[in-house]
Amino acid sequence: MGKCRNFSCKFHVIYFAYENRSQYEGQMLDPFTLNDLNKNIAARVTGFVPNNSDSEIRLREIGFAEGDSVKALHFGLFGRNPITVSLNGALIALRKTDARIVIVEPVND
Amino acid sequence: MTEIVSETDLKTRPVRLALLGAPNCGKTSLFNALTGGRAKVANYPGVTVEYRKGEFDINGGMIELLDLPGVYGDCGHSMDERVAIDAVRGNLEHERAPDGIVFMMDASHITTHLHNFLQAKNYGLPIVLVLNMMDMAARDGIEIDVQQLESQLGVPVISCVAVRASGRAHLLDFLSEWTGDITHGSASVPDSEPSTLKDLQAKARSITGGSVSRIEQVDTFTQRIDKIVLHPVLGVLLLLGILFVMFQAVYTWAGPAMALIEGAVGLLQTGVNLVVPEGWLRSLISDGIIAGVGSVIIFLPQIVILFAFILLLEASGYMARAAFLVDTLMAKIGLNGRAFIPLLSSFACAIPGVMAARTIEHERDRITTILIAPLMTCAARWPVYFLIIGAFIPATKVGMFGLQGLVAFGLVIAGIVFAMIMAFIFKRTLMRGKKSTLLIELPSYKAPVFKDYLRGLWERAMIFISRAGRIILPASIIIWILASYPANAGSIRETFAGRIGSVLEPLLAPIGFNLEIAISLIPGMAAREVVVGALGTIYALGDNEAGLAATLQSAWSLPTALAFLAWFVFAPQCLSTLAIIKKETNGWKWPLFAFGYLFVLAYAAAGLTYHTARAFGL
Repeated sequence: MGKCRNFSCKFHVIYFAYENRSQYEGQMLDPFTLNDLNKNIAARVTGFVPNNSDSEIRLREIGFAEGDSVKALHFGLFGRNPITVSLNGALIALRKTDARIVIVEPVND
Repeated sequence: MTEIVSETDLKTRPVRLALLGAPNCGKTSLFNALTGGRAKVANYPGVTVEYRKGEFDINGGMIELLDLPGVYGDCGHSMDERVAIDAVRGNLEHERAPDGIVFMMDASHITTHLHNFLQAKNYGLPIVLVLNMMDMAARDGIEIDVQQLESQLGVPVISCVAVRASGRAHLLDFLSEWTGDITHGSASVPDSEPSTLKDLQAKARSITGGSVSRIEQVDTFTQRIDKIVLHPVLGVLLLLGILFVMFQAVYTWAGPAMALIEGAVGLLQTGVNLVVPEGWLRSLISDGIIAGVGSVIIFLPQIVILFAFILLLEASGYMARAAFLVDTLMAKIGLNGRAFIPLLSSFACAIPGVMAARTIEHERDRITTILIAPLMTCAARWPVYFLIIGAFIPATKVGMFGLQGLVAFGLVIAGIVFAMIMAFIFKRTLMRGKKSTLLIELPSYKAPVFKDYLRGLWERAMIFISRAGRIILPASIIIWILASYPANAGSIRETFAGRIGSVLEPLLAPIGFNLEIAISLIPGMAAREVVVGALGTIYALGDNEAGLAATLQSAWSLPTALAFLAWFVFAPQCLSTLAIIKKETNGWKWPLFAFGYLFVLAYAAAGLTYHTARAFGL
């Protein structure tokens, strides 16, 4: 990894999508985001899905940045929404609509 | 607004410092500690809705401190954030720009928040970074190299524990010197930082990488509690449990104190009757003022207990979790969990609730929240509920719960349910627009600072008492006059009050309201609890020896009492609420709309209750 994090992350999704082809048809290039993260899986922020400048600003202001470590900790009652994540030790609650914008890659602890 | 100041004024006027920082970093604790509570509150205390100003002196130098709402960046997404940013930029009307910025940060979250500080350097004012809660950070094994941080940031960095005098000593020493520099114009203005958030964050991360010993972790204590509190099922049950206990406690714990106040009011009346000769003056003091004000003051213990709970939940860090838990529900009605906090404040009074809606980002969400805020059971309704429930609902037990508490809980729930229904309707008709979202930081759990907690409770109690003085006292006198004159009136119907009430009576008769209720609702416009005072005055004039509750038992039928309770779930008649809605929405449209829809609902609910109860032969 290193130079092209976005690529590795897309690769991850393509690999993932290969096994669930029917489910992921037509959205092969969707990046792997905070929204896809299972509970207690350590991950790192690698970027933001472009063209969401409003949400991106708000997410950055509250602290999300490239390279930060994140982990999904709690989910809401219906549809796993909203999500509470730990972000560098701070706890942030956010909805799926915003979580979908934060591109992440799982890391091995 | 520009002020014209002379040379000498410049030297003697206090140095104005703005207290800036993210929510929950301890600004208000520091503010209270430094100013010793001598704060001028622009609006309602407690939640920092506008700004609080306070003065204090160090070594003879006066400092004026502005306590601002918490902000992360400089965009100002919500009204609340815009107030803070405008204050720092000097764009607020009637307020001059600050001379310097005290930027506060929770030391445990320095990695996440340092870019907010870099951004604040770009305001171009002398600035100091105060790292608060250094003791907690140290406990969690986070070591911060303050000197290195200072050299990399190019500004002073002070470590601090705001809640302890020893933890503030260093900051005070620094401020004394720094404000001197500011007065003499020798305080340095920081270098400017990158302008895009991405670059700011990159720079911040590289700085913390060098001066913070390790990446912060969520503290294990908080994590352990959150396993239950944020659990999708257990957490919701816990929230319901907390609310339920809160309302039960309001009833059971307040009893003795209320009996004491009731006794004191009775004694006072007896005393007046002994001293003041029979006549209009005795009637004014005893039946007008003491009966009117006394019937409201008696609810002080319950108000205090209610707030004891709300403030504890706020201070401990639970409130943001409640916002997380209810967000799913709020999403269903088109709002977000953030609206929970203004709505919960509305349980105290709709006024701070309507103002707290400023933290909501989208304008349409904000208006929707404002419109439903009056449906939350405000403290002013409690006197009415307490009185009517106490008089008409037997104090029996249903299982392990008191029936009276259950009825009160039911009324509160009714308000919430209708609020949700109305929000659902508004968001799909009048308020269609951008989807709302939730983005909120959950603070670590902490024990509330006892002094701050007591101060908050004291402020709340004083608001209630001063309302009794400012609104209920004059209202009681006016009612007494209207209900006592002309002097030859044979019955209440022939008095001025009776004549006004008679006009309303035909309108209210179909929902079971009698003349006395019609009369009491008019002064009730001033504040909802005035209705209780008014009933106290009206029935006291009717020569009743028994207390108000006993009088009502014989004067009202049960269907009337129930209809009255149903009316008060909506209770459109509160001028102060309508006035604050007008102020916060900049016009007459929304206050008139709120009054209209609440009136229709109140009328329909009271009518339905009355006729249903009669059909069941109650």
